Amino acid sequence: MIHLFSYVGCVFIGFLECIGQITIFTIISIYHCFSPPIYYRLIGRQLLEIGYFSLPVVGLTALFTGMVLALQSHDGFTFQAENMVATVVSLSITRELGPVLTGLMVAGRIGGSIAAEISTMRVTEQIEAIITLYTNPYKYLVVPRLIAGTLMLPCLVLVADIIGIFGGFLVGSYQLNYNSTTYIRSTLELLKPIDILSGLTKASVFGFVISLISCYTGYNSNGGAHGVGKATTNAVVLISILILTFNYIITALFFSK
Amino acid sequence: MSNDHPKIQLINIHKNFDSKPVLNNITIDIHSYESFVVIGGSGSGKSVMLKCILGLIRPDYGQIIINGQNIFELTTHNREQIMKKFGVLFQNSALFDSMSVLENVAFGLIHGLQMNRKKAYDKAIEKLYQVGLNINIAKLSPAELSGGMQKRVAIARAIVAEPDILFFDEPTSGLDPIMADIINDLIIKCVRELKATAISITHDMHSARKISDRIAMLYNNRLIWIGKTNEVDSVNNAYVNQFINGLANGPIKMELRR
Repeated sequence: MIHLFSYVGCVFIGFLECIGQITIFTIISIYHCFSPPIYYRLIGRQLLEIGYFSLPVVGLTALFTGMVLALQSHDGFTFQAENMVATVVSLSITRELGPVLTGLMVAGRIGGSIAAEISTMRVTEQIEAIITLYTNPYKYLVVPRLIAGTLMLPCLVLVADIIGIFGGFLVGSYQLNYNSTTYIRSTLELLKPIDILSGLTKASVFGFVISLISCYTGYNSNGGAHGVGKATTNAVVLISILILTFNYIITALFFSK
Repeated sequence: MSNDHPKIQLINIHKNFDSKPVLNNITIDIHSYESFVVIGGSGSGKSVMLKCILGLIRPDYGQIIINGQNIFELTTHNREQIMKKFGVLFQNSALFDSMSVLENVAFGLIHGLQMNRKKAYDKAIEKLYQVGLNINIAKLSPAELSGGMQKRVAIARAIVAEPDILFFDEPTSGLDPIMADIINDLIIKCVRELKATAISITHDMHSARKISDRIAMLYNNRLIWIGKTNEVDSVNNAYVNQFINGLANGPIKMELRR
């Protein structure tokens, strides 16, 4: 019994230690976001990497999600299906599915890649080399990714919203034979700015979380190839859990009465 | 060779990892323009000692004084100013694999010293010539180079900002004997041309004899001998004798699982 308590105690202390380390890492990273020098060229490169190169995967995910949503919700509405399906698709996409699915896709594509890259740099002493070359590794490695993630995720979600709603429209108009004009009018009438704004706020938080956690796990990895693999897995798992947690918190902040 | 005040002083340095000692009461003075080599077996604490001097690892207690200043009592800004006088060659070169050779060499000048890109590249090319490499390899990535060429690039990167103090971590490891000797010659040339103080760690005795003015030996996380290079072969210390002659039998026991 005493071993069980000891084990639970160790796990709990480890959990608190991890939270403390992430908090310190976050504070240092945010501090370096606002203190010179800022490497604009690196930020530009990361904007391209996180934003532009994620467009195909995000676009496809949003398109098929919008299409499936229209198909599935069609069965649920017997009256005024045109209006209701358009509303369900647009609200679901803008409030929830757009930001969450984009966040999860980018977590897999970018989070894993950042964690793997930085942890490889850690185990091959490249981060120590950066320090000895008079450069702050937070400024060089973390800040550009943090800024790019926070700025680009809302842009990606905006694109995902448009493509997702368009996917629903395609299925509604061409497969379910809805009236296109009615469908578009319903979409525009019921969609409020706060629906889009809440989604973009979520996206910004998710982008920050993706960059921060992937940099953190990579930066603190050790142990060769095994350490790199572990850092990558930990990053994707932790980011996914945090995205779902923050999704609930932000939804509660925006919509709970 | 030596001035009154040591360039680098290590005073009673202790460092433990998870209650396991890795450095135990290390005290060393290293003088200006001196080439100082630390020898010792794997796990003797050489790399940790080097990382402590570089400020990458903080010792549990003890002082590291560089140019008369305790580096762990300085503000971040002042410590960064002292680090700008360092040049480091890492054991596996630690070149940035996402960049070309030229970008690797110019990295510290562009990102650390905020030098204009054109100027930094010109200086990097000059240093590549200095270490015996030509412009043709500047656009290659480090993965396309042999181990010896990677070491040369790493040396060029270490000396590009013309540092006061050079650190070499296992400079000849993984190289064939001829290339190792070429790298030794290059280290001697760079240290002389820069009028730098050099600290190297190695277990290659040929390299240690060739590049050093003084040698220190670590064993079991302690400093067991320090003296001039020409004294190392005549020293009356069984541990040093076993190590420099590479003998399996002697007081140094390797940790082997039977």
